[in-house]
Amino acid sequence: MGDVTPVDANVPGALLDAVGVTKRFAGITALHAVDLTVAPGEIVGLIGPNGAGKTTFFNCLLGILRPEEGTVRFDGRDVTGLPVYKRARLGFGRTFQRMELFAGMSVRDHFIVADRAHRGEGSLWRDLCNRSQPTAAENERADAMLALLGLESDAQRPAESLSLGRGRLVELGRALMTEPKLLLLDEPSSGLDVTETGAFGDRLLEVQQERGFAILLVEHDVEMVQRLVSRLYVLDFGTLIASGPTAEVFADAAVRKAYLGSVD
Amino acid sequence: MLLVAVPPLSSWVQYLIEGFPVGCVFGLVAIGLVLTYKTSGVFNLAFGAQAFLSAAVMYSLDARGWPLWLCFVVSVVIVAPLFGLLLDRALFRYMRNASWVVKLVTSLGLFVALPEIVKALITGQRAKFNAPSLARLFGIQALAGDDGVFKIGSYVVNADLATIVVATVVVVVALFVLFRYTALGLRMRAIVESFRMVELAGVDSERVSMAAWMLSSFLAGLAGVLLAPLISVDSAGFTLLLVSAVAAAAFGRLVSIPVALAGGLILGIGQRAIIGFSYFWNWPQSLQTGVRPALPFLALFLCLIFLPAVRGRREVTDPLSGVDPPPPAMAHEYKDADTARMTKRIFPVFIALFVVVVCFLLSDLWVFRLTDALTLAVAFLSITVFTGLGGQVSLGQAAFAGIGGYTVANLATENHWPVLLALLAGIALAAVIGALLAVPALRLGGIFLTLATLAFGLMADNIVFSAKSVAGGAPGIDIARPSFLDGNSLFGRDQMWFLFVFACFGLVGYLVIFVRNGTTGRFFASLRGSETAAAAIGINGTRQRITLFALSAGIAGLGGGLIALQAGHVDALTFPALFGVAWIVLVVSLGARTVDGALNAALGFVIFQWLLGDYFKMDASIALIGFGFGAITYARHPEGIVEFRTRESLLARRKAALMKARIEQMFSDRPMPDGFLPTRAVTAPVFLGFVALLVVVIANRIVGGSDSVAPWVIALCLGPSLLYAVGWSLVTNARLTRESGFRAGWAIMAGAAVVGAGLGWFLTNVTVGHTDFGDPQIAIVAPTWIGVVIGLVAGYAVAAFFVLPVQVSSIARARGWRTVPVSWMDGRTPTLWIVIGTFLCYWTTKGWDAPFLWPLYFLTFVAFTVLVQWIGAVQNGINELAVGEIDVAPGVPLADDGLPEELPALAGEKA
Repeated sequence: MGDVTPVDANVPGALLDAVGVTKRFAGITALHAVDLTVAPGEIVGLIGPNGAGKTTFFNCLLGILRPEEGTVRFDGRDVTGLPVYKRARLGFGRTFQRMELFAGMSVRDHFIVADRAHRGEGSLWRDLCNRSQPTAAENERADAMLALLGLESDAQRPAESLSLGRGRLVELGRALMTEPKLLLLDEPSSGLDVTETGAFGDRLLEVQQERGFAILLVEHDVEMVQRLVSRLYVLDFGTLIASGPTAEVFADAAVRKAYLGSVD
Repeated sequence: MLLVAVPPLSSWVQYLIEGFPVGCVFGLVAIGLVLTYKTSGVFNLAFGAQAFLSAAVMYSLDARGWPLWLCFVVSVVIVAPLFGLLLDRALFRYMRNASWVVKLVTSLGLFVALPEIVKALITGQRAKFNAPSLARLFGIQALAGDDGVFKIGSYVVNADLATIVVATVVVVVALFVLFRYTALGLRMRAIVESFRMVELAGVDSERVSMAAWMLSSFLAGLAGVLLAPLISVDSAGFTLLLVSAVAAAAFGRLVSIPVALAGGLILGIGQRAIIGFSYFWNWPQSLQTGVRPALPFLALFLCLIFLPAVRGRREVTDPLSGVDPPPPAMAHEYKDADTARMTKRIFPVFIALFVVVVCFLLSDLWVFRLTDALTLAVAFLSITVFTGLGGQVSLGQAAFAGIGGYTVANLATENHWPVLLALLAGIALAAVIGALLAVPALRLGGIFLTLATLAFGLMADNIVFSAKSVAGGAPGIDIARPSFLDGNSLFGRDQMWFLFVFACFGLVGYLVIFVRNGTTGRFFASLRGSETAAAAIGINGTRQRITLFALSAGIAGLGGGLIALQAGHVDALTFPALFGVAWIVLVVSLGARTVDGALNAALGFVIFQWLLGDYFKMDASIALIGFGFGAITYARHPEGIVEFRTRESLLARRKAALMKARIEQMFSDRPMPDGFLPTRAVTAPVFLGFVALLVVVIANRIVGGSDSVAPWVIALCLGPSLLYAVGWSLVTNARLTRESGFRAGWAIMAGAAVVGAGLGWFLTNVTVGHTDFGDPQIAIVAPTWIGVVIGLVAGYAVAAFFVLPVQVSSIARARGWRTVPVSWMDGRTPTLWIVIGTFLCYWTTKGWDAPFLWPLYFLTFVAFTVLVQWIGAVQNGINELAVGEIDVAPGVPLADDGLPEELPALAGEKA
C-alpha cells in the first residue's frame, strides 16, 4: 500500500460506488477487493501496468463479468447482478479499446440507433406499420451530436471507412446519445498519435463541461491522464495500490515503482 | 418398486463390438472436418459429397472390370487429393480472409452441386453398385479365420468391419505423427489462427493450405470407400453420414482431433446400442425407425447447447482483419434522387401490368408456375430476415415451412378448420417454435448456430414429419384452398389463388422492408456489427434474437402453408430437410439482403426447373448444379448477384451522367476527340436485328398463326446486325491496336475463330448418334456448314469479348489512370451466353422438337441484351479514353444534382 490514504469507499452521494470487488479466474485472483467511487460530474482515472486487472475491473463494472464478491452501486442502486444492457439504460456509457462500430451503418445511424435504444422507443409493431422513420426530434438530436463532435462531414459515411481517430469520436458520440451519467472510456488514446489524442481529449473535456457527466478513464497515456483527470486509482496485480488526487498519486513511490518501473 | 429390465452384459459387448467400426468411419469423417476447419476455417459441409465422389469413382471403375487395387489407388490416392487440390486452388484460396458465412455458403454450394455432377458424369441417375469388399485388398481377409470372419470370444466381426478399424488406426497414428513431429503439421496448426500472420513469419501459407485440403480430401475419399460396403452408394446416405460426423466433430468443439475421433466412436456404438434397446424393450415401430437416424442430430443439438466450450464461443477473428477493405454499400445508397423518384412512380404501374398480364394473358399452367414461385418466395423471405437482417445462417428453414404446411393440412382437412384460420395457426405455431428454439441457441454464434439449425431441421424431418399423425403416412393429406378463392366471372380459380399468394408476398415483402428500415432492423444491424457495443447502448440482445427467430420462423411458416395449399397435398416428403440447404444456397447467392433477391431466387428456381426439365427434357437436378455454382459466386459478391448488378448499373448511370456533363462543358465549342462515338449510335443497330425478328415473329403469329419462323427469315433478321457487330469489333480493334500496340489481339481472335469452326465441324460430324441425355434415337440433322459457321462466329466472339476490353484497359493503365473503364471481366457474361447459345444450337439440331418456341426467343432476347450491354460498355470505355478518366468510385462526395462537386480535370489539362 502506498502512502496515500484511500478515499473512503462509501462516499455519500457517490454516482458509482464499487466495494470490495473480487474476481477469480480458475484459481487466479484477477481482482482483490477493489474499491472505487466516482462522484457525479467527476473525472476519475484508473491506471496500472498491463495485466493489472484494469479491463477485468471495467468488465465487472459494466456487467460483462460477474464479480465473486463485492457490490457495485450506481446512482444509489445495487446493480451488481444486472445485465449489460440494463446498466446501459441506467446511465452507463462506454467506449472500447478495440473499436466496436456497427459495420455497414452510417455515422448518423449509429447515433439514431443509440438514441432509440436509450429511449426504449420503437417496437416491432411500430415497424410493421412502417411508423419507425426517424422523427424530427431524433434527427435534431443526431444532428446536434454530429455538430458537437465535428462529424458533420462524415455523417453519411459507413462507419468502417473512417479513420481510427474519427471512429473514436463516433464511439464517443454513440455513448453520449444514451445520455450517460457515467462514461467509461477504455484506453481511448490507443492507436492514436499525439495530435489525435490531444484533439480527442479537447473534444471530450468540452462536451463533459457542457453536459456535466462523470467519467471513469482507463488510460496508458500519462499526459492525457494528467490533463483530464482530477482523481486517480492505481491497480497492480489486481490490488488497488494507491488512490487520490492525480498529482499526489504520481508522486507516490509505490506507484512509480509499479507503473513507471523506477524508484528515484 | 419399479424395475427396469436392462439387456444382459453380453448384449452390451455385442453393441460395443458391432458399433465400433461404424464409429470409426464417423471418426474418420469428423477428423477430416476438423482438419479443414482448423487449417482453412472452412466448415466443409461438402465433405460427404467428396466421400461420395471417391466411392462413385471406385465402384464405377470396379464395374468396368478394373482390378480392385487400381480402383482404390485411382479413387482414393489420386482422385480424392486432386479434387481437394482443385477445391483449394479454384475456390477456397480466394476466401482466405473472408467471413465464415462466405466459406460456409460456398461449401453448401458444393454440397448441393457435387452429388449431381457425380451422378451426371460418372454414375448416372439411378446407378446401383455392389460394393466389393476391401478386406482382401489389404490382406485382412487372409488374417481372418476360415469362414472369413474374426472371432473375439463368441462375438463375430466380419473382415470389412475389421478393415475399417485397421484403416482408422493407421490414419490416426499417421496424423498424430504429422501434427506432433513434422514442420508441415505445425504450420497447418498455425495458419488457422491467421493466414497472413503465418505468411509474415516466412511460411508459404498457400502450400500448407493446399496440403491440408489434399489431406482432408484424401480422408473423405477413404471414408467413402470404407463405408460403401456398409451402406448403399448414393448421395443421400453419404449426406447423412456427414451430419453424424458433424456431431462427432462438435464433441471436439470442431478443433480437437482426438475428441472428434472419440465422439465418432461414441456415436457409432450409441447408434448400435439404441437399436439393441429398441428391440429389447420392444419400442413401437415408428420410434424404432425414427430414433436411430435421428440420434446424431440429437447428439449434435445437445452437444452444441450444453457443451460449455461451444456455448458462447466466438469465431476466431484474424488479428490482421483490419486491413481488409470494407464491404460495399447497399445499392439503394447509390441511388440518386431522380432514380428513386422514378422507381417510386413506375413501380405501381409495373405491378399493375404484371397482374394484368398474369391474370388475363398467361395460360393456367403459367399462372400455376408463377404462383409456385411466389409461394417459395414467401418462404425465402424468411431467409432474407434471418440471414439478410440478422446476419445468421439457418439451415432449418424448411422445418419451419414444414411446421406451417403440416399445421394447415391437419387443422383444415383433419379438423375442418377454416383454411385461413389454419394458415394463421401455422404461422403462429412456427413462430412460437422459432422463439423456443432461440432460447437454447441464444449463446451460439456463427457456424455453431448454423449447425444447431441443421440438427433441428433434420430432427424435425426424421422424427416429426415422418410420423403418420403429422404427414398422413403414405397417402399424405389433401388440402382444399379457401372457398372464397374459387374463382368468379372475372378471374379463374388459379388466377384468384395467384392474386391471394401475390398479395401475401407483397404484404410480407413490405413488412420485411419496414422491419429492415425500422427500429428492429437497426437493432439487428447493430447486433450484427458488434454485440458488445449493442449491449453497451442498452439493446437487449436476447429479446432481439428471439424476435429474429420468431419473425423468420413465422414467415417460413406462412410460406410452408402456402406451398402446401398450392400443391393441394402434403406428405412426408413435402418439406425434406435438404430443401433448407438448397434454399439458403439459392437465396444467399442471389441476394439475401433484399426482397427482390428472394423473389429472383424463387423465380429462378421454378423457371430453371421448368426450362431444363419440361422444355429441354434434361434431368431437373442439373438445375442444382447451376445453383451450387451460383453459391460459389457468392464468395466474390457477398451482397448477392442481384444486389451486385443493381449497384453496377447505378454506378454506370452515374458515370454516364458525368460523361454527358463533361462533354457539354468541354466539347461544346470544339469537335469531339478522335474515337468518340455516341454509345447508342453503336448499340442501336445491333439491337435492331432482334426487334426485326420480334416483329416478324409477332406478325407471323397474327397472320399465319404459328410461332415457328423459317431459319432463313431468322438469318435475314439477325444476320445484318451480327455482321454489323463483327464489323464494329474489327474496326474498333484496329483503332485500339494502333494506340496500345497489342498486335497479338488479331492472332488470338483469328485462332479462336479457327478453333471454333473446327469444333463446330466436329460436333456436327463426328459425334452423330450421341447417346447421353437419355434419348438414343436422336441424330444430328443440321448440315456441317452451319456448325462451322456458328463455331467460327462463336470462337471469334469469345476472343473479341476479352481482347477488346483488355486493349482499352491497357491503354488506360499506360496513361496512369486510377480506374479502368472496362476489364477482361466484362467478357465473362457474354461468353457464358455464347456457351449457352451454342449448346442450344447443338441441342436443337439433334432433331429435338420444341413444344413451343417463345422461350427460345426469350433466350435470344437475353443474349442480345448481353451482347448490346457489352458493346455499350466497350464503346463507353473508348469514349472515356477520348474525353478523360471519370472516377465514380463510391465515396466521391456528390452535389445535389448527382455530379461531383468538382469535375476532375482532364489528364492533358492538369497544371
